[in-house]
Amino acid sequence: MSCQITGVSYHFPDQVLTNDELALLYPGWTAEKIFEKTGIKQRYVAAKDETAGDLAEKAANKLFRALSMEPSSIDFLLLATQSPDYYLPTTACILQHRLGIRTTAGALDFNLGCSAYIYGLSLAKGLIASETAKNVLLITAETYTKHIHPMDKSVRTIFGDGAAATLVSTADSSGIGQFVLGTDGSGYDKLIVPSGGLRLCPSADTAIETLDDSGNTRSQDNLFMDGTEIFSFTIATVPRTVKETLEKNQLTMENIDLFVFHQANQYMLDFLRKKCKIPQPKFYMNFADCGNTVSASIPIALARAEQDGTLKRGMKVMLVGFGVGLSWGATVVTW
Amino acid sequence: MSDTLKKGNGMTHEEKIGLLEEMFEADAGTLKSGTALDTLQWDSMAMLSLIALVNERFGKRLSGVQIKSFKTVQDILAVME
Repeated sequence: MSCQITGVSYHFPDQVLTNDELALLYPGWTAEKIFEKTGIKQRYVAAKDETAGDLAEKAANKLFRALSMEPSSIDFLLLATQSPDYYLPTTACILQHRLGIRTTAGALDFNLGCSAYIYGLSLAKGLIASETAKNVLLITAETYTKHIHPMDKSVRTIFGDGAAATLVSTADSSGIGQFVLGTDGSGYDKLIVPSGGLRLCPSADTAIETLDDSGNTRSQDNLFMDGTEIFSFTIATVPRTVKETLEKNQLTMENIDLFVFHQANQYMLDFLRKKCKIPQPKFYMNFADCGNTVSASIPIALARAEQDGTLKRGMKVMLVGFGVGLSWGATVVTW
Repeated sequence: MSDTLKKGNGMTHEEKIGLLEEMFEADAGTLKSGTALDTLQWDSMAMLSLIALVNERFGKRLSGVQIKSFKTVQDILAVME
């Protein structure tokens, strides 16, 4: 049984963190400098009592309204998040109840970041192909800002909160192509919140703040990203992945109408676009107002591309996700 | 994809220094092998630029660990092969 992406909606929290506000905190940095280095002007920040699960719920309800559909059509809910409401129970189970999805539906969380959307599509495709489900609600929701130290400009300038809800449904022809996936756990500590899991429980020790060589403050309770290593990994991995994805889908660069990469930051995307020899009009970037929203970044970009007319029905779009894990994946979808 | 690489063997010492002067936005002729990196704008952006440069021109992957061990311009020149 074939499947396709039927629709994508997204939701941001209300609060905004601007470059001007950040520049006040970081001596020697102006709003312009932050934008120059990242391509980001502002990012959305979840409220103290607002979780990724809350953002997920809002994104899903937006999708139901946009598609004029009832939650009862959903027979499987997949939630990608690294900021769940609880260790247990599964946040997707809570969402089933809050969204009014039927109790005969399946629901599960999966823990991935920037590659999550690709993996989520592969799971949805598998569920539909196996006739386990007909209408999969794939939600990617993240609140990295909750893990970030206010005086860590390396990540505070980059990441923003947000959620996207995607409906993957049965279709007469295949709208989701073949996948190329990859994992390299040797890089696990290059993008990490060291404490909080069971490897290192939060304590007075993990809360001790340290200042790094670049003048950033963080503790083991905070998000740490080794920017140089992540960049090195990305530029070594992504161009090869694009090539492999074309081969696996028996397509050429010319067959692809649009490329939507994980919206990480301007510098990385500019380098990748040039390295992969993708002409500018075919390379979608739209994250200056929301920053790097991790697992939500690709679907948010897709929804925006459709809204602004860049993405039209029938187009072939290559989606490429890469980051924390280290994990990566790509596929081609027919919109 | 980038299949044609300008192999380091073809590049002279002066050409490599020139590339680095451009990268560091340093005036021509100011960079020497022995120049200490902490006297230059050796920040996170410079490190990313270096990773990009070595990838593009020399087809090599530089790791963050390697980069952080660099102290002088000579350390960088050593990987531009």
